[in-house]
Amino acid sequence: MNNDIIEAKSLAKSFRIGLKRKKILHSISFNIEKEEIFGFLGPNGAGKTTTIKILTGLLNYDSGEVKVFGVKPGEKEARKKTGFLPEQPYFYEHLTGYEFLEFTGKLYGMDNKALKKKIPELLEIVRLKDAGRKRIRTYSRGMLQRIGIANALIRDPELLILDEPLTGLDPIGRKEIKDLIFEQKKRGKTVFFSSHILPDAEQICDRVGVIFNGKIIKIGPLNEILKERITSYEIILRNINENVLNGLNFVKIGNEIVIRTKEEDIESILRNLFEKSNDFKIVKISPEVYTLEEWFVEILKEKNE
Amino acid sequence: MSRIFTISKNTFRELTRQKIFFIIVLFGFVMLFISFFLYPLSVGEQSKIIRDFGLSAITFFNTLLVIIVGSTLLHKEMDKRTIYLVITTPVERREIIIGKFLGLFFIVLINIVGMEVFHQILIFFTDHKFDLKMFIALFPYLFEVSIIICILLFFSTFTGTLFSAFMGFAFYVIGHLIESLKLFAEISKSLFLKIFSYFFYYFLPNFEHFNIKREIVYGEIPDKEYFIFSICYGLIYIILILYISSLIFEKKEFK
Ligand SMILES: Nc1ncnc2c1ncn2[C@@H]1O[C@H](COP(=O)(O)OP(=O)(O)OP(=O)(O)O)[C@@H](O)[C@H]1O
Ligand SMILES: [Mg+2]
Repeated sequence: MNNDIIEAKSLAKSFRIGLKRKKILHSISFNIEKEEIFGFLGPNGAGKTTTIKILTGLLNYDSGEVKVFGVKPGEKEARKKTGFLPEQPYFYEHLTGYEFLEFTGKLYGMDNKALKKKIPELLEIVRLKDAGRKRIRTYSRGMLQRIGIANALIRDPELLILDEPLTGLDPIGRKEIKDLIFEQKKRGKTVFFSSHILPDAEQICDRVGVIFNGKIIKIGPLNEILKERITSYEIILRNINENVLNGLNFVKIGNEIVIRTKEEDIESILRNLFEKSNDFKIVKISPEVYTLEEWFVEILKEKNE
Repeated sequence: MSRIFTISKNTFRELTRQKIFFIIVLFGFVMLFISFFLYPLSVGEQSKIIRDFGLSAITFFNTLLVIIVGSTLLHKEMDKRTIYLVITTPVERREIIIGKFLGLFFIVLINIVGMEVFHQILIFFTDHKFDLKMFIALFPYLFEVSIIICILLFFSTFTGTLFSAFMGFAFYVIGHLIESLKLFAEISKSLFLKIFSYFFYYFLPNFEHFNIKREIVYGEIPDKEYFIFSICYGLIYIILILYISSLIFEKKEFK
């Protein structure tokens, strides 16, 4: 037995448009391990939602092999252990938030007693404690997103599949949902989510995959991906005589000197400076921050060329 | 089993929480009420007509209600995409079909009983006594209306709302004229039309099997064999159509 919750091998999917078939996913492969938070990124129309619908059994696929908890996606065994938030979730407008959770909770096999305990807890977590008694028809965009997240959590699932969970939420809401996702991981759960909000994704993902035109063009641990691209470091010094900096690439900001250099040169530069002078202070040595967003834009640019 | 109940309860609740639903139901009662004033004929005739017309109004009206509502049962969920959150729970797809069927069936059952109670009051005003045999007349009709719900669900699994409603209506009409189809088969000269008509004669549900209004109005109650036959006949169609619908729904993609 391996540790993979989701396995996709050479997954392909096409849609019929009129008489023609259009390929949407071209043989994509990825694995999601237990207890990881996986961010599924890609521009609009890349195929994220299509992949997610296959993983949840809403769509069939043409070829390849997909397993969720070791069975075909959409099989009861997999559905029992999965919580799902669709993109722009829709709910029965005739129900209140509470009634809706009661409805899906029962479909997950929970009894009245368990629901009486669980639903108020969930409504509290997603901050819909009062709104829970109101018809869903009256909910705002963000409230719909919140009730959708509560719904995904109703059966305390092993795996959460969330299609753009952070969309439509205000900054505090996003923080709360990020904390919640993180909390799930700490409790040994696995999270697969798609997002366009990269700074947020960057904060919580263990690994990311980037899909573009139906192909996975990058996949890997977030820290490695970002490290791969770190090209320069900044050394920030104080109290140093500019004369000793001869030949170095530096700028002066206030009373601090910022030297930009490569990782392998840091040591020799510092040695050199200590030989010439000994009363300066090292404020900080840090990699030039390279965000997921910058990385993402860059690889898409490469692909487009 | 409890999942089927959850689905049917939700279907029931969804329909009965719509204003339009009550407007339709009210319309049915008004129709029934008007029938009372339509025939100010001699006393003996009036009591027959109020029975006959009342039963016809109840069956026609409930068929109409089922066609209007039943054709949207699955489509509303798919169009509004609420189905995503149902399909992805551990519910079986056949449980959704059966649950939807039962949800609408119970609404119609309640409506039929309600209308018949109202009908009894009207009968009481003309005859100064109730006529509970009317309930017996409506019992086989429950199977007819159930088969229509099944047909609507069946077509909803692979075609649109309007087409499903149309097919429901077509089956209703043909189901009542099916004896004529046999007659047509007998006199038809073209072999193709003969085979075609015989095929449909034996294959389509014959709704006249569920129609004992006339007998009841004239005071005859069919024997036990009739009821056993019509119950079995109805159940075979219901189970078969629901089964085939589930098979199609099982394979369905939700785009
Ligand atoms: N039912 C469908 N029929 C035909 N084409 C479809 C269908 N659903 C999606 N597509 C196409 O598949 C491609 C991928 O769509 P998908 O919804 O998976 O993108 P996405 O990555 O989720 O985009 P977004 O970020 O905008 O949500 C798009 O080109 C879209 O037009
Ligand atoms: Mg999408």
